[in-house]
Formats: sequence, structure tokens, C-alpha cells
Amino acid sequence: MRVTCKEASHLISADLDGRLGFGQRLVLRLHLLACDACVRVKAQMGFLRRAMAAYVNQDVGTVRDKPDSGKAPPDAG
Amino acid sequence: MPQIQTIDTAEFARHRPVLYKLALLQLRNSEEAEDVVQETLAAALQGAAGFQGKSAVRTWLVGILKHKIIDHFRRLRARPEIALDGMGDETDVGDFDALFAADGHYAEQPAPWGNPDAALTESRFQDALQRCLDGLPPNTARAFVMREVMGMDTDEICKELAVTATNCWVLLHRARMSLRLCLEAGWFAGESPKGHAR
Repeated sequence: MRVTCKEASHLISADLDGRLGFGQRLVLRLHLLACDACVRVKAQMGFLRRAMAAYVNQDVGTVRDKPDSGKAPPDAG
Repeated sequence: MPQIQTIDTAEFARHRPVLYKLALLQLRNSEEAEDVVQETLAAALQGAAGFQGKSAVRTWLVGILKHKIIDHFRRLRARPEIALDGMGDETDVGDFDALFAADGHYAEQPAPWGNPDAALTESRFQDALQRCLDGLPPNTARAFVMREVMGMDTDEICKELAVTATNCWVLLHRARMSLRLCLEAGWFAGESPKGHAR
């Protein structure tokens, strides 16, 4: 069974919620094998989860001293 | 005597801003958010002796906040005259249709984000994320924060928001698609996380 990218976006989201059955997961995996765009979307939706973890752990309103002035910039690539 | 880690009010004050942000995202009302945070900290102070540092203080407080927010929603539901916002068109699945071409592929390829995790420690990125979260419709934001921050599963979320399972997934999908697009426009496309000099 083939799905469109639009349908795949729903499967990717549902997968993050642990909602995919075996068949759906297979369908998604097959789609991802052939679709770079959806691989990217999957990575970006997964990133949102880590972004929210960082959001919760941020220190708000406690940055009295100069932030990070002594540290090396994060991997400037 | 084993030393019991104690938490004082100064320690709580450090966590208050984030608790407030989370509460505000879900309640969309500054007074109610303030009340819920207050209840959370009061409950935490009472229970502080029971906190033995098994989890991080922040995690522990967010767990208490979760219960207070759920209680708040339940109270609202018990009083239909001030019920939660209706779903409006938040569960309209057609909203992202414009992203896709007639053949079901993305009309425009999603942009590469490089190494997005490098942005996580940047406060300006957190600001961009905050703007994107603030822009989510109310129930979408609620479902997303319940899922990704409060660690609730979709069954619990559907129950507490009194929505069908399908609508619950639609909300979470909407949140993820919207945030993805918003961060792309508001951060990854403009403020290159790599080049600080633009």
C-alpha cells in the first residue's frame, strides 16, 4: 500500500505518539525509503520533542551575568 | 541520619518562570496560569519532605503542575457556562493541503535544518520557539504540551480535553506541522544557527 506525503505526515506524527501498528509502520518505512522530503519531516518532528525538553529545562530570568562569554561558541561548523 | 535533600522557596523561585510559561500555554489566561503555578508551588512546599532528589526538581514540579492543570480543566468542564474554548476549526484536517501538490508530494521541499540541535542552547532559539508556541491555536497547544512536556499519552489527552481520539491526533499533527513550518520560517531560514554574522 502506498501513501502520499500528506498521509505520511500523519503517520510520522502518530508514530511519535506510539500509535502505529505493525502494518502502518511498514507502510511508513517503505514510503521513507523512497522519499527524502518525508525523511526530513520525520527528523524535524522528532527534533520538536528535543526542543520541548530543552524548553522545559531552560533557565528563565536567571541570566544575570554575561551569558556564555567565556565559552566557545557551539560548533560553528 | 541520611541527608534528605531539602528545597527552599528560593529554589522554587528559580523554576517559577518556566512553570508559568507552561501554564500560560495551556490556560491562555495570565491570572489562571498564575493561580495554577501558585497551587503547584504550595503543593510542592508541602510535599518537599517527600522529594528525595530521585528526579530533577524541575521534572518533579512539572509533574505537580500537570495535575493542577488537569484539575483546572476538570473544574472548567464542570461549569459549562465557562467551558473550554470550542474546537473551532482546529480539527479541520484540510489546513495543510496547500503544502502538497496534486500528486500528494510536497509542493515545496521541506528545507534542510542542518544540525538543529546546536540551536537548543541558544536563548534566541528559545525565543523563536516561544513565538511559535504562542501562535498555536489553544487546543492544539494544550494537546502538544500535554504530550511533549507533561508526558501524557494520547488516551489521557483525549480524555482531559474531552475530544475524540481522531481529533486528538489531528491536534498533535497540527501542532507538529505548524511548529515545523514556524521554526523553519522564524529560525532555520533566517537566523542561520551556524553563521552568527548574517
